[in-house]
Amino acid sequence: MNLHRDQKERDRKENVMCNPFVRTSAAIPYAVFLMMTSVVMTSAQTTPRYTGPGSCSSPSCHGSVQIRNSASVLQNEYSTWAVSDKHARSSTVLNNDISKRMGRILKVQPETSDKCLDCHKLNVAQSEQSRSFDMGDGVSCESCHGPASEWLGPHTTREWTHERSVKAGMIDARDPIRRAENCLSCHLGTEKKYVDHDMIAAGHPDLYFELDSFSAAMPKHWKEPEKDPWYELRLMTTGQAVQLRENMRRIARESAKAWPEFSELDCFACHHGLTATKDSWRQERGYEGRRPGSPAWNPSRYAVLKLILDQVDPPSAAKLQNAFDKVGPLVSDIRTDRQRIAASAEEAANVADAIANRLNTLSIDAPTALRVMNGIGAGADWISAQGERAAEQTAMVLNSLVVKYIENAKPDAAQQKQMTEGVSGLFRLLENPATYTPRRFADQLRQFARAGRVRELGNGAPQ
Amino acid sequence: MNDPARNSKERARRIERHYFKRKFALPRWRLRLTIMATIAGLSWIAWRAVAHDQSMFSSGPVDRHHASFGANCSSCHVSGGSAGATVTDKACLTCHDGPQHNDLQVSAPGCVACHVEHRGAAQLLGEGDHACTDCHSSLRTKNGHPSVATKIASFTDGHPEFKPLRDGQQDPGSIRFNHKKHFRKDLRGPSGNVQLECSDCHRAAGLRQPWPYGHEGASATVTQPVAARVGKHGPSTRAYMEPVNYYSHCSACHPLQFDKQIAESVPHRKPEEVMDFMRSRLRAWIAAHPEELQSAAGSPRIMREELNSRPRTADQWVDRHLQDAERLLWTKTCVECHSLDSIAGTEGLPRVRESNLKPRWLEHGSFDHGAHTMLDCAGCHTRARESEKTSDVLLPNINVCQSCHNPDSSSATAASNCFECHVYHDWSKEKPRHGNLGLPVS
Repeated sequence: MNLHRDQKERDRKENVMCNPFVRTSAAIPYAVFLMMTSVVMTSAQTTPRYTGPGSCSSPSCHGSVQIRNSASVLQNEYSTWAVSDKHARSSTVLNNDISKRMGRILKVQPETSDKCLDCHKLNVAQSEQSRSFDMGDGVSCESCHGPASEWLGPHTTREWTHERSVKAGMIDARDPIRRAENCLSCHLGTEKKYVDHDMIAAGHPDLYFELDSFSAAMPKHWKEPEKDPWYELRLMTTGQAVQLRENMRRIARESAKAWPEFSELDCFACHHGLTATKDSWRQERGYEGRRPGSPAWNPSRYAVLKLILDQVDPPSAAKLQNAFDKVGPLVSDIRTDRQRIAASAEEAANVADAIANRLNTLSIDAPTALRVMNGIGAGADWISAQGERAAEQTAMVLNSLVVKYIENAKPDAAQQKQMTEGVSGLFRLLENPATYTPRRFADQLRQFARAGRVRELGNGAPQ
Repeated sequence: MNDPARNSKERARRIERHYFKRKFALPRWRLRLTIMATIAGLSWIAWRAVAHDQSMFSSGPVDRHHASFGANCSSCHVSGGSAGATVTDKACLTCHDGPQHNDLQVSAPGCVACHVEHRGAAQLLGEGDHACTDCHSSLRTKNGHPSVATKIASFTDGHPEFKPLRDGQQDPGSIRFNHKKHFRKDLRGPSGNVQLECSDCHRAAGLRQPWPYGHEGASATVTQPVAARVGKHGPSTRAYMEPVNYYSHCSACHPLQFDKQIAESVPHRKPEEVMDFMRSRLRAWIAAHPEELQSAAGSPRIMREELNSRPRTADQWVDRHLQDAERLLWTKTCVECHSLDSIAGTEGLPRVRESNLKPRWLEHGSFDHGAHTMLDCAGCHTRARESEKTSDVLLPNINVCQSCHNPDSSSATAASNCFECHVYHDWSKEKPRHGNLGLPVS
């Protein structure tokens, strides 16, 4: 066991240190630390504080309605958020009928309880608020960009840079890992912000996420600073790894406290229509890797990533599978020892973390994108059998791949159409989870994979 | 040795012996002149009396405002028409109204108690403090319950703090405004950072220079200045600040744009007019850009919600954009400054709460900003630069005034008389006069 862990540790280190980017990036925090210390030594120590969305909304700053060309940013960020972005209205849902009912069930006041406001508003501790702090509505500027007090003033000056803002407390949303972590703090949860099975039972929707699709769905208030035309695919792959890591950390946290926490399991393992035995696809599929009758874990954040890694970075895929061959059966058995779940989930989180860092350095090109699409097509049966949530991730990931592939590789119109319609077909099958069947989804996946030259490999389960 | 000067006889001869008996010319004429002058004077008086001229009785020249009465003493000295008669109120009231000071005053002095003629303009205006302090230093009223301070002996002795600053009063304005934020060094202006000054938004109403952060097309909507001169008793046009209004003071930095595609701002008017404006502009825009309805239709990005709800007709497009614009205006843009009484939604348009801007804070006494232009605004309005809330009353405290207007100071100071700020007569009760004088007969 020890030997095994040492080996893994060595692997990880080698892997990390061989990569020049990772080596440099490891040096950056140290350099930042040195600079920060010198700043702290020369000036009074200040903790960044939140100032509220009103500090950004001046029409001459970020509150214009039209795009202005006087600065490096669009300057209508606030209006885009206010008009089109659902984040702006995340707090107004707290007084609708569903929220009120949830409040009654859970015995909380949705509009004032931290339990709700932590994700639905810019709810920060008194000690983190600047003197003129105004909470405003919804999830606003600083929810994603971090407390502004230390860069709000200087960041309007000419010589100021994004990097200096980041040093002064801004969240670097350009870094896929940092962006994913920040989104996932609500869209998946942290120790403090957590949608558990009680809340879902009371009416809160289950959480799912895919960094690139969700970034695209968000009305765009930024200019893409990245020169890399495949940047969005790096967002997608890295995001997959980060959400798996956060998922594993959540399981480790929850299992250390109590188990089973049903929100970590596959909803539809239990919440599904009863059918005649002869028609049950679940029984037909069987219960591989777990006891019959024990609800399976929700593998959606693992399954697609595994298929992506098979094509992008096979050694990582092997490590990931190795870790999850242990976690999967443990989490899927509600009678397992909680400590074992926590330990294996912790270990899996570390694997996912290393993979996230690695994927963040790997740019995907056209042939790789095509290989990934094919790989997922080849794994149609396996991925479809992982359940509705995994199928949903598959559709979103394929959508990301198709969008970027069409944009950068410019396939002919017929292939574009086939690809787009193939993905549309996948989304249509997901509209009602009650009617989801792996067979139909796998068929649609194969049909997608047949689109033009996408079909290069044969069928078959992933290794 | 026979020096004549030393001879006593010679010395005695130098003095005229009959000197004291001799009569000189003036004493010789004294009696005659006295009699002549008396006769001349008496005959001049008799002659003037015959000519009905009384000007020789005048104790000094009358003020230029009364100059048209010339030497006609009886114009004012009405009792009996004889010289030396006192001036009664009746004489003044022929031309002037002198409205009562207060309904509750226990005694009313006659006009001449304060307004003294033949002593120069200042005396005629009757601006001595005694006119006020005679009563106000130990005030009694008819009802026995004076509503003002009862022991005011001077500006620094017994005068209370200004009313808006007593009892924790608040500014009743409903416009959200943060002075401190607007004084920030790194404030973004319409093009680059700006440093705002008080005078960028506050200036005497009488001045007609363009405003630095105003809108060119604003002149049509400039509000009436508050304190236009009312008769001769009102404040001058430079006494009070022009009330802040959107077009003159806010519009350059706070445009009211409503749609990404349309550069125009909505008019700063009632929500109904704003809606009509937006609807007409959106209709015109989509009519000119029909291609907008097809764009992005072929995007490979699957957005489930949006796929079903993309506007397909111009009307749908206008409705969608109107909805967005309403959301932007009623929930963000307008409420940045205004309070809306019902947020738009199913129940129609919101109602904008009355702004309640107070054009003038010292309602009892008057103040003239125009007379204080040599001072730094913040030197008196000490709280203004740090104020973060509309409810803050930014009127200077009385001790700020007293630092210059101080009757107790041994060094020379600005005047501190009651009439610097107050008037005696309640001119709101002034009645029209109907005089009975005729034009001089030529």
